[in-house]
Amino acid sequence: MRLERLDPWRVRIPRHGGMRVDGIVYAGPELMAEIERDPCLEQVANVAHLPGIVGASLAMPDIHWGYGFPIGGVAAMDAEEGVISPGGVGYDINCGVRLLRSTLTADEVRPRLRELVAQLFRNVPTGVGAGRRDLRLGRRDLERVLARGAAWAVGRGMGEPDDLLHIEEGGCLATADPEAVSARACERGGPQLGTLGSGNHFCEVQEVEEVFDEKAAAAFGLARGQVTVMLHSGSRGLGHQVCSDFLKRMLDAARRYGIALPDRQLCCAPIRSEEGREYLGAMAAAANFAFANRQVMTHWVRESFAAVFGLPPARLGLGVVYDVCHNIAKFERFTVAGRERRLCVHRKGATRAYPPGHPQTPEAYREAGQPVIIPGDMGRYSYVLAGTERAFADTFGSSCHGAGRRLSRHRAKAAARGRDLVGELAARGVVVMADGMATVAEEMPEAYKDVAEVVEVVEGAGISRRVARLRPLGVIKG
Amino acid sequence: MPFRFIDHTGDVGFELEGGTLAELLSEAVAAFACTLTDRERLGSAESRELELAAPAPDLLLHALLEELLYLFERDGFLAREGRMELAGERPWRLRARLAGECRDPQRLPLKLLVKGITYHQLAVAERDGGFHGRVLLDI
Repeated sequence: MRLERLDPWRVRIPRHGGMRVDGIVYAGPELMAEIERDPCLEQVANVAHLPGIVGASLAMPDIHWGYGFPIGGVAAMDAEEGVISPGGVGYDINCGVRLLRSTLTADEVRPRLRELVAQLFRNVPTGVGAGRRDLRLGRRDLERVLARGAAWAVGRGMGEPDDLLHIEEGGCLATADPEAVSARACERGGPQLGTLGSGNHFCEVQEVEEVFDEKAAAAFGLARGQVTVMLHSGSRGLGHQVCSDFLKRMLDAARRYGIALPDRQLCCAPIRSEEGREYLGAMAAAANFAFANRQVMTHWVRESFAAVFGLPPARLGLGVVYDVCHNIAKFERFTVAGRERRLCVHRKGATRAYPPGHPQTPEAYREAGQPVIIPGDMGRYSYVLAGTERAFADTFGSSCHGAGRRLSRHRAKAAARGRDLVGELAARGVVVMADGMATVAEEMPEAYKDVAEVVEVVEGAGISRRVARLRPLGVIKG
Repeated sequence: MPFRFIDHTGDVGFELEGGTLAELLSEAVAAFACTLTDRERLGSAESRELELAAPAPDLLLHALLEELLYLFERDGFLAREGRMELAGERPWRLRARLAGECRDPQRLPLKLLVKGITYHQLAVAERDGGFHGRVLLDI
């Protein structure tokens, strides 16, 4: 595949074959060398085949081999002429990250860290299976979750109204259609509300280690030495099943609409078709489930801190800094070639990164820009960035979503063999509790790229700017 | 072993072989169990029956794996092995008799949780007197 470097931060995949637009990959030379060893560039080119794609098929620097879309892919489709692809959102609809700030300092937390992590591990269900016995949903409740998202949980006393102001889309996609969610999806995911899941999902206690932009950090309520909590989870089995159900339908639909697919996982239907509309309604409902899921777990994080430190939640702060979606398709407005257009932006392992002054950026952050939360790995660090005008102009308001895997799960396990990873992380000051050691091995720090290299690219390219770096203190995993 | 795991960056996949399509599908049951847990320790006292139809062999493999995932998420049931009977082509019809157990988390730790069975590089082909398949799972 021919590649052309455009500048220190971007590489172009020139349009060829059935591609309707170019591909553009955000990566410096070193990251690019790694990316080229992975089949993901072909996936960037494949996405460029989809009808109605606007601008370019984009890839963020944390790109790696996915299925259909690459992980780290962004594609904007014309709302009238374009297609919607469930594979461009992924199985874990609205997988995302939420960051909480606290009034505690790392020095205050460290003496009770092990106790705190154990309390979180007890309170926030991890791994496979159903969640807590004190949260059982009937069909009616589940329909309300699907329609209202995080607001459902707040209405049930699991959170504060203020939380909703600091979630992408206010924690609810109003276009949700609970009727479009299959009985099987409800059966599979209903009992999993308020559960973290497994794989790369986590709940992490962190310390603000470095502040790069004092003014933006102050706006986000962050200061050096402060303790934060990061939650990474999605729509669990409910979203997974919605994706599976609609992939099957879209395979037929793509054939009927005469859409040529370079990869069946890219199956899609026109946005305005019956299949397209139904998927968008079901996807929004699953996204609302994910918003509610992170809201419920936020409540249990607050209860865990209150139990360990013997302080009421109000004294502990634990306010929501922000909550971002990683896997989503949403209608957003952008100016393309001087004309305002309504686009359906697919972000598959990418984060919205809106600039200062945008009406969708919470009022408290209007000067700083939207917080962009970038988890790293459990041994090194994570970042808080802010969205920029450049992202709005160049990447449909999008940025990276994490470090991106470097090792396959198999290779990570091989690298972990014979090692005491929990002990190694403890030596670095990180307490880890997990359902199984296999997950710890697969998610070991070396399995990921250094997120600092990824962040360097998005800052260099001007599509986000660094606000703060967070160091892990304690992690729970499924 | 007539299946082998594929080294995928973020997810997990396997390649399968069978003298017949039915054998390949049986191998898929074993590979799925090995993906999730230690199959050697998995019992076979419980059974489930599935009847599936698909317009092509690769889609039949996909449908079978989706059902295995659903049974696991709904009931905790993991099949150790499956006896496959193919009853017709175009569409391909399958009756699968699965033997396994509802997992006891204390006895059988999970290796991975699977989110979905993808269509990316999904393939079943007949060549060299046998069947070869490939499938990737989202983790």
